[in-house]
Formats: sequence, structure tokens, C-alpha cells
Amino acid sequence: MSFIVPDQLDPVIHERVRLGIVSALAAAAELSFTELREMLKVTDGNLSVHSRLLEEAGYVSIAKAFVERRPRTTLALTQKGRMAFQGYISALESLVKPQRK
Amino acid sequence: MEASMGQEAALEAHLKRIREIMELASEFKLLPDRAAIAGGIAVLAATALTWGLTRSGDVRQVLWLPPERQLFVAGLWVTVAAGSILLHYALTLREAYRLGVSLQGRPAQLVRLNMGLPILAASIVTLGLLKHGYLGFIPGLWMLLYGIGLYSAGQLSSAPPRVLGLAFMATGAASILVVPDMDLWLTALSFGGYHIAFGGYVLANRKA
Repeated sequence: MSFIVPDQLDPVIHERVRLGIVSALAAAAELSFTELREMLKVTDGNLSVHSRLLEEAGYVSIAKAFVERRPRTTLALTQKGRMAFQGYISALESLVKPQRK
Repeated sequence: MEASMGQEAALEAHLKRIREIMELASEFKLLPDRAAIAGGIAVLAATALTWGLTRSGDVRQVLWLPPERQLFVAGLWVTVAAGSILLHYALTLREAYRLGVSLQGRPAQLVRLNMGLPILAASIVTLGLLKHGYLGFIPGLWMLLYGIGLYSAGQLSSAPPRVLGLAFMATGAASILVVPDMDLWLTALSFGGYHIAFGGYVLANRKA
């Protein structure tokens, strides 16, 4: 994102990969790490770093389990994350379509 | 604070990306490949067996067979249909586990509903027709309703299921309105040929 970030936009969400994660989770109840990686076309490491940042901010919950002895990681948006995303969308729309006097 | 023109364009692009990702996340992506091919081959085999008994492309000729052969034909097609559905479900479950995809999410639920209701309707009408001793139009009815299910379910997925659905609907309409005495061959073409072609297409694209 090469321009100055407007103050109204949540800097936690306002990053390409994190925005992609939050957008995808807003549409699906939960998604696996594999699904997100393939959907957003990012590397495991990149997705892992940004997922952790979102988890630390309380926007995303990450659950790890074993299915048939294979690890499976699933992500879901928390209530705080859902509200933050809705606020981000509203702020984005108000910047794009400002009220004209 | 208002965004400058350059910022506005960039922010519009963000909104567009958000919409695209949300649509992608809502899609159902587990399309059948091997199950479709296996099901198609089973239909072709059942068609060959049915023709071997009736020597006709008109399924109404089954009613002229001795009762035990009529039962055999009925059991054959029920087995092919049920077996195909079970195989598709088992392979979809396996693929879902492999990819870590949930089959309990909204997209999968809606696909099941969109496919399940037309199949239920077709089953009910079929039983009603058979109860009155009428076999005609049953294959065309199944092609039409199955096609409607595919097209509706395809709204939650990519284009190929919708194309397949349209093909089934067109063939079903032809079977009912244009060539009702060729419904066995149209069954082979649609449930056999279209499924094999669709499964092959999905498999080829998956590997690409």
C-alpha cells in the first residue's frame, strides 16, 4: 500500500494479506490454513506471520487439531474481528464516497 | 477526511479485492472427477444391459418384459444411481479431509440443498408415474430436474457445473418433447457421456 494510510483505516487490517484473510473469513464460518493459502496465493510463512498478527490483535482465532494423524489448522473471525472488519469497510466506503457539500 | 483522486482509486481497488475474496471464500470447490467418470461408466454399462434385454432405445419397452426382468432393470438403475451418489459422497469426504475443507459450511449446505430437492422431486414423480404403470418421460424428467439442481448448485461454484446443468436440461427437454422413443440413448449420452466428460475436465484442470 504505497500511499499514506488514512487515519480511519485500521492498520491491523489495512495490509494486503491480512485484509485477504479477514475478508475470506468474513464470508466463510471458518477456513483451513491450506484453503486460505491457496485462495490468497501466499506462502506458508507469509500466511503464518499475518495470521499470528491478527490473532494477537484478537481478530482471528486459530485452532489446531489432528485429523487422521495429520495436523489441521483452522481460522475463524472473532466477534471483535467481525466488528473491526465492518468498521474497516464503513471507513473505506466513506473515504471513497465522501459526502459532498 | 477526503481521499485524493489517487488514494480514491487505490481504495476502490481494495473494496473490489474484498468483494472478490469474499465471493471466492463462498464458493464450493469440491467438484467430482473420478466419481463422475465412474458413475458415467456405470450408466453406460446399465444402458447396454437394458438394451440387451429390450433391444430398443425406448424405455417403455421394459414394460413388455417378464416381471422378473422388469424388476432386474429397476434394481439395476436404482443400484447405479445409489452407488454413484455414495461413491461421489465418499470421494468428496476424502478430498475434503485431504484439503482441510469443511463440508458443514454454508456453501456445502446450499449445494446439498440445491441438488437434493430436485432429486427428491424427481423421485416422488417417478414413484407416482410407476404407480400408474407409466414409464415414459421418466428418464427425461430426471435429466431435466438433475440439470436444474446442477445449475442451481453451480451458482455457488464455478462455471462448469452450470454448463453441465444446462446440457442436462436441454437433453431432458429433447427426450420429453422431441424424441421420447430414444430416451435410453439420451440417458447414456447425458448421465453417461456428460458425466465422463465433466469428470475428465475437472481432473485435467486439477492437474494443470
